[in-house]
Amino acid sequence: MRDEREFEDFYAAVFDRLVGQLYLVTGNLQDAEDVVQEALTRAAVRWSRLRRYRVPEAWVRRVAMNLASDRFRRVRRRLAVTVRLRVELESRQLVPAEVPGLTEALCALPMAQRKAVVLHHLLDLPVDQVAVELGVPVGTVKSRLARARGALATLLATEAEAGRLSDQGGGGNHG
Amino acid sequence: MDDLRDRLAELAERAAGEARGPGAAVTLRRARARRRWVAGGRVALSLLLVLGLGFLTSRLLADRESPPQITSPPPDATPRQASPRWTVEAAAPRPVEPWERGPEAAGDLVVAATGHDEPARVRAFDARTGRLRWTYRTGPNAFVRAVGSGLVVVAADYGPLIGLDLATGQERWRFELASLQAAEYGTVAGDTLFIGTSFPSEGAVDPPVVYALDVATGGQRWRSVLDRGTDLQWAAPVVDGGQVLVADTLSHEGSAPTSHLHALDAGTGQLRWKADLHAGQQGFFAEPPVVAGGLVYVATASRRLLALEVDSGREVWRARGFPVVAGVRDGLVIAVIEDRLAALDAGSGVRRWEVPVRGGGEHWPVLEGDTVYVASAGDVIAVDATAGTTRWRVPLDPAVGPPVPAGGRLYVATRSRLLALDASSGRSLWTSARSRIVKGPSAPPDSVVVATADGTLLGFAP
Repeated sequence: MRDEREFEDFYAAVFDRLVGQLYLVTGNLQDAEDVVQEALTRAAVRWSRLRRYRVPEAWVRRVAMNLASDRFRRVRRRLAVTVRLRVELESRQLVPAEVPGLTEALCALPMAQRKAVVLHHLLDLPVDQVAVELGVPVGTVKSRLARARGALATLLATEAEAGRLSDQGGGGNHG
Repeated sequence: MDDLRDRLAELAERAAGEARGPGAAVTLRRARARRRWVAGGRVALSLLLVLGLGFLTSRLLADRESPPQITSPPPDATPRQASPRWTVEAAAPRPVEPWERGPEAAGDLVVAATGHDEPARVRAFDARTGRLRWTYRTGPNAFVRAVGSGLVVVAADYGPLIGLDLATGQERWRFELASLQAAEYGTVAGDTLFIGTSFPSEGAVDPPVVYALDVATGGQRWRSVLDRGTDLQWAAPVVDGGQVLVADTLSHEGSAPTSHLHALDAGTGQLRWKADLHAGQQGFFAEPPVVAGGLVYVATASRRLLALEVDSGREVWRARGFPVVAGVRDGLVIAVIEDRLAALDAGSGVRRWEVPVRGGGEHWPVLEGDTVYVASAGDVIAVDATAGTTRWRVPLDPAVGPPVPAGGRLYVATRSRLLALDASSGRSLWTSARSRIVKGPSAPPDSVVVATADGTLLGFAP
């Protein structure tokens, strides 16, 4: 029972935060919730061992990120134009107004780069730690971060430019 | 980059603020259920190690991993409400994606894989009793890619192809694939497995590759590289007349000018011809090309039915609307095209008759003898395949797969029930109790099997 109470506290403490982080990786709130929930279920199965880890949350985040990659193929195909099935899928996005363009810019990056960005720029993990988390060499992480930063700068600048034009009434193709 | 960090943090916090989860209590319940499973296996392992009976150990351990719960029908069961003859939990994928196949019937076995699960397994059950015959563990994912000639081919999403002996589940061979190379569904023809692969992962630009492998050894006979910028369609290759037919679609919008149907020589893998499908957009679907009377009929992502010469790929005619072809009979191609069941002249494409079908969902047409059955989003109908007259119509919930005619009966799996109908009259013979069915039915001899949303397999007496 003590283990279960401890897990309940852990769940309450990390669920929302991890969903926020995974949202930056998946670009879809539903997917972020699903992978975090599955990772937490796996954590609950192993809780007697995991509770002794220095940062059990890191274990859950790693599992959730792996699950996000695993789902990628399915999600990608789901989003494809499924002629036969005409599937319409829920894509829970945040209202973009408060963080203009960032979700779209992140989604334009390959998932591997998104993961590196989240771990390094959001969670402040040093590059060598990101390399351990992602299971890739340090040089690969540096390369991914450099490419991601370059792409984000371009994408966000384009967004900002578009926003300025729109504010100035430059988008006028409405009727 | 401080600005980037702040903006990421803001976005993550907003997402966290909208996060909805089932809560810790539900998570713990699920974890307890999974632990019981693992614990059962461990207890069995300990006991059997003590006994030291090697052969018996592996046999009983397999049983312990997934104890099939066999349910005997009550002696006074009424014919209208059928109980499953057997039930096996956690045997099939959950949830099932549109392109993932359900349980496969193979002789007197039902082969099922657990899909995206951990640890994932492929299992074979006796179709009549539900008894577990064998288990094969694959790692974090497991999918059945092909069954035939005494072989089951399994693969994870990005894993090697593994050939298992259908009778024993023993691994016969393993065929490694490249990183990010994903197996599609395969076809076993004689002593050869024909299977396509794509590189659907983000950033991968490699073209699809089709392989011919020796069924007995997994040795490569040939490989054929298709067009850059495309992925293979979901359907398994069609092997006919010494050639292998595979269709592709665009990897993403603009990745290739169009998609093609490729005809490869079955003996060498050399391209015999490829036909332009006039589809400059992406669209995945599971319907294979249908070959009959010297023509091949193929659906396209541009919502057309094309008739091509099977020897040359030359286009003979085309019809508008996305088709699901039931088959070809007496010079008629019978297909659901949008919201009509239609019979088209096989040589010219001219419509000979048509019958409206329920719209708003998927259609599952099946041609059996002189009757075509169509399960739709609200009914199942039986239509005379020659005259186009409706023989009977039965309202029901949306079907989840094609109806299966067998032994004078028609089995239909809907989202809520499995039904057995008299094939000639549509009269209901029996129905199952309500459950969330997601795949099926498959009908090996002496059994009708469906899979439910929680991964349970249900086996019914016909």
